[in-house]
Amino acid sequence: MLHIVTALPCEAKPLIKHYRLNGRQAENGFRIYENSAMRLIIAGIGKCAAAAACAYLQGAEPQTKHAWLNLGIAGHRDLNIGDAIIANKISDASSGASWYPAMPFKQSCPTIGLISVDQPNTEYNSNSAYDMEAAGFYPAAARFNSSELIQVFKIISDNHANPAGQVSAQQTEKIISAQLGNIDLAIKQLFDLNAQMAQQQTKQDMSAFQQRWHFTVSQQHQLQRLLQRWHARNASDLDLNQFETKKNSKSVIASLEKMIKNLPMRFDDK
Amino acid sequence: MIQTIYIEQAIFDHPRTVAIRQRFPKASIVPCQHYGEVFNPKAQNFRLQKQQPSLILAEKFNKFVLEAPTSYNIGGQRNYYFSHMLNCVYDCRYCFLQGMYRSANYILFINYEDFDTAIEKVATESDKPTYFFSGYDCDSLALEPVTGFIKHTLPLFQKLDNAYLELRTKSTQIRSLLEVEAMPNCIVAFSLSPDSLAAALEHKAPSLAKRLDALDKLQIAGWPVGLRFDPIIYCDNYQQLYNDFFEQVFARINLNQLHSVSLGTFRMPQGFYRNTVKLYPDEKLFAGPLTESQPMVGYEPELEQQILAFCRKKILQLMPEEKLFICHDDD
Repeated sequence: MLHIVTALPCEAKPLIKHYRLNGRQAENGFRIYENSAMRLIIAGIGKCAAAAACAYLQGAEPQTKHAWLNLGIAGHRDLNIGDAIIANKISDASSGASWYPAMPFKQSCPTIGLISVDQPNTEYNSNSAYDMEAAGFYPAAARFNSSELIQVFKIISDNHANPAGQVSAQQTEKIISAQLGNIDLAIKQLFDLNAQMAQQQTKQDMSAFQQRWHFTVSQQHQLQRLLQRWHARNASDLDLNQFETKKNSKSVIASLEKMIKNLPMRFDDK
Repeated sequence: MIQTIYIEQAIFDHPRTVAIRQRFPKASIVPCQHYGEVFNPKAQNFRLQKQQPSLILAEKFNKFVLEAPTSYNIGGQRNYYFSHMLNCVYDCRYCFLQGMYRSANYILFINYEDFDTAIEKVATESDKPTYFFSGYDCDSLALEPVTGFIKHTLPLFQKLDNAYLELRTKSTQIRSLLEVEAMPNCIVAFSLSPDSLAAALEHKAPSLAKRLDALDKLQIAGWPVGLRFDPIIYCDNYQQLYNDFFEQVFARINLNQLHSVSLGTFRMPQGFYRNTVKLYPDEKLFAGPLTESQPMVGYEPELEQQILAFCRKKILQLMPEEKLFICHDDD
């Protein structure tokens, strides 16, 4: 599942329309817009709101690791209005802290530094982009998943020639809609990475075993690893009938260990 | 291709930084205060990052040269290692680096001169020969065209009579060696595995044939070469596999140029092993007859002895015993 956090309704609208996200009934906190693959929250302006939205989204499905995207508008000294950027460094202007989203993929648009400020910035003092949420979003999302799965995508809405005060909701919708192709690419990359991550965490289905025998927590870990080893060495599924004479979990584990020991061990059979 | 280069502010304008930036004109440049900000955070996944690692240029301040474990030697009593780089361009499934670091990004420490000073100090504080190993935390040669570290360091060893340098590699990047006169105190040691195991486990590394070609060129040019059969990997047909492999390798070796051969079975510190299994739970290597006991994970002791005895016997049919060294981790 991909979790998207935006600050403003006009940032979210093009996404809600494009990805056909349905709004849940009003809940106590935030309203979640969702389809089968993603959830979105319009958090409001600022770092705290963005961080709170992350926690709220994670709470919607706390056991799972999700991909994260902060999408919105940002200012930059001289980039063109409508240009898209991905943040390669996020700095909190007030605390001085910095974070570095890992990027193990070819980026769909240029990457630059992003500074989160507490008040709208019209000075554009550096070559970084300026927003008001990423420094709240990123560390909050990093509590829940690995940095490769957390990205910040911004579309330039203001610059020296067109300062922040002049940005309208209508214009914001327009520039975000124009970048839906690049947004889509970034989202596909996140889905792809998330699928790879899930592969690492794939738990072998132990339920059939657990229905028949009682496994302590420690034995569950043992069984999990044994099933992984079984599948690493043998593509076929385990036939539970092979264990039907086993009276308890201990003998199931011993038997499975023995079966794995007898499996072929070759590296030239792929 | 490097797409992102993180650079510590303090070395942003260092000539080596500038040269490396010029080599990757399209890379995004990200300044940072200290490499640890990028390399050390917890929320990172080595396996995902390995798909496209970034380069981190940093400055090292201490621990330039460290004592090597006592069982790792190729005939010397004083053994040290140094790492001008952390992480490797190859993706070998048996490598401890994937369990040791959270990040797969490459760190290059660009203050080479400080390594020189530390090496010289250690080498000259004793009359005994001192061995320096450079391929512990990275491949010694694989990124040489970018780093130029070996080209920089060889002249130091030319003037250190009593110091030996081992370059451990799977790489074919040997141009910087072939461009200079061979040095008797610099051993180019190739890590080699049978073809089928290299294909299954040594991802992104040159094939056995290419490594042997590189080794051949170096020995013809007069460089002492080493063979590193470490780790030996167990499989049902390991005897046939390694029998044929050793014959294939030694058919290319000029024994006069052969400095040393080392031999060891697959093993990994337990903590690193557990981290690695989490990254690759479906890897066949980790589903084999391994035993997990502190501080190391390795093959069951009896099997380990069988494998080592078999390999040792076969290798000694092909080369003199005094050049063979067995690597254990008993200490």
